[in-house]
Amino acid sequence: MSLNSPPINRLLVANRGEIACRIIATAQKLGIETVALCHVLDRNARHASMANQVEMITGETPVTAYLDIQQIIDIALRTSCSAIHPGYGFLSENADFARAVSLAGLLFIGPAAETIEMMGDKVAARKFAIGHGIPVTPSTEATDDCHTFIEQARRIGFPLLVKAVAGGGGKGMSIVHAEQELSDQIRLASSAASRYFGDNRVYGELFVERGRHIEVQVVGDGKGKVIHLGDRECSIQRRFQKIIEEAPSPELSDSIREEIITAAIRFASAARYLNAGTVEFIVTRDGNFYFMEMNARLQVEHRVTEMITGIDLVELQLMIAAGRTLPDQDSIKFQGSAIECRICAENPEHDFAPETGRVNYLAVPEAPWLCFDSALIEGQMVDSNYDSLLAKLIVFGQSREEAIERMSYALNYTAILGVTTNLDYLGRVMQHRQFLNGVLDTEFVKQYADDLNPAELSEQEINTVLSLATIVGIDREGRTDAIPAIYASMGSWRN
Amino acid sequence: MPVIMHLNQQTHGVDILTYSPVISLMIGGTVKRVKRLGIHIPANLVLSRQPLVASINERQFVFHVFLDESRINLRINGRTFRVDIEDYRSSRNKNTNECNELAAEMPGALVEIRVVTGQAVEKGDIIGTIESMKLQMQLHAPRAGIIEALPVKINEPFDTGAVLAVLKSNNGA
Repeated sequence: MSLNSPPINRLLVANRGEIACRIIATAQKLGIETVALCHVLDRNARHASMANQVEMITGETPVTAYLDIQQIIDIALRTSCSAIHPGYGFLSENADFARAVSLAGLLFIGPAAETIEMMGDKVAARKFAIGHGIPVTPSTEATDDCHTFIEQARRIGFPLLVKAVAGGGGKGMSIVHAEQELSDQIRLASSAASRYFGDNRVYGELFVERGRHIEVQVVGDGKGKVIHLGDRECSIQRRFQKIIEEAPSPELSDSIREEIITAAIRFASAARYLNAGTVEFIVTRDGNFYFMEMNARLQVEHRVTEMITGIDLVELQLMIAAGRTLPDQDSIKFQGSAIECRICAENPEHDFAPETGRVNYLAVPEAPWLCFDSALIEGQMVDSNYDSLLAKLIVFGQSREEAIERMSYALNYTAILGVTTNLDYLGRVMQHRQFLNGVLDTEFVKQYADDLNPAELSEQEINTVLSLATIVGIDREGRTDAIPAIYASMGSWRN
Repeated sequence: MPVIMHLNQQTHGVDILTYSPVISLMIGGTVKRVKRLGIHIPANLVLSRQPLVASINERQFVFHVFLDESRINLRINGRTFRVDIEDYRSSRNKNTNECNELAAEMPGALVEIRVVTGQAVEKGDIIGTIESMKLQMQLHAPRAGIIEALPVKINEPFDTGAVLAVLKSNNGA
């Protein structure tokens, strides 16, 4: 650390789950002590066992506890932390939190509160983009009035994407294809917006059909200097939430890539963006691109960028917050290809509905070319208190083909038993011809739903499953009546 | 006596013919000779739990397995299966067509209720909106009837199986 910048000796991680573990790991590597927050329901959680110190936080539900600004700042001060990392989700994009952290004399690992405020207001961010010559899709104004909304929507046309002004994470979003569906969807979106974000205003933007979701990782010094760490392709989504991301984007021409990256830097630089952030675009089939929003935080999918640049983004975030100068753009080198799969407790055959249950068995893969980010432990209950993300599996390959091959291989050997997950589904996506070809768009999941359903089992496959179930099952099920002594005496097959 | 198993809503019977030296099973009219071969260690990958390997009629299969109280969970070659053994199947099967109680399929909270008790509804009418994790889903009436009770209050968390609405027939039946 340079002499005139505040050093970080102790870091409070204001989050839980895999991202808390991931932040703690980097802090440990840098010799920074960590304080973890822990709700009583999380007392056996992995992030709590990794940190140097654990502080209990209280709240009616775990979620309200992790959102309790005053309590978190009090803990940071009491435990002599000098900085707070918000991770993603929870308070990461809460301007009041960033402000309160600074007022308490602590470093907030992220952008300035004013930046978070502007980026959090999706309509304001779009106007800022327009003001700096960056194209956006036609949209309505922000409103909580259904009548005004419908009037403006008529001028834009359909399909229309209805979003919360303060939104994020796909919550309260829907595609409306015709005017008569509009009032119902506005009402739903508005009530969701009010509940999630405390702001019931919604807006609509023209939905780009078969578009690609491309985003650019940027890092700024808060004074206008911004560097990029390349692009990510995040088109494979369900419920407006990403499930598979990769870097770099396949099938993006060099010229469009350059244009998009230039636009992202121009946007972030004009905003005097501080720390790490992501500028998201939608790219049409004919190569036009539109600004969507900027995420003023570390993204779930930041690992794919780390893998192709060799840069630890959390380390970079801490360095920038501590006042270090940005690396030069020329020093950022790109190599290979990386893919991330989000392993979620959900049922792809049931419209990706969230699933709950106990993780009774967990086979986690480990290799130099992969990263398994997770806070899961065997025996853990997966409940509806939190997001359904269980783990992220990220692999690196010298080429995209190698990355896909490795992902398939690792997915095949990974097992999470006891709760329904999308593991099988992710494996099928890896083998889909259009995925292999890199021809992706945000409607991929819908478009190829039939191909991505599990194949009907052949009689031989059914017999295989039943045979294996029989030999491992019967003696463990306590069906002593059905098992002759000699079979029982062979012992059970433990592993 | 065959062992009765359920896989993907289908029922199968497996007869155990011999236990030693090889396990022979009769499944769907064919004989399977099954051998346990131990654990499998994949190349270039370390796993926190080693899968098992077994051969069926000389063909090898690698699989992860976990047995909980009533169910055998298997993951074989990238596919996950749940096999239930008959004796352990729960007996509380309901006939959904005549069901008067609308039960939650997953834990969550009712974030919106669109009906009141005493109100007549048609099949498919929206009763309210459920939220579970980040997902919102509309709750539809399974058949026509009159809302007799709405036991769960708005924003009150509920568990799987909780009765969200009670319907009675229009004709008082």
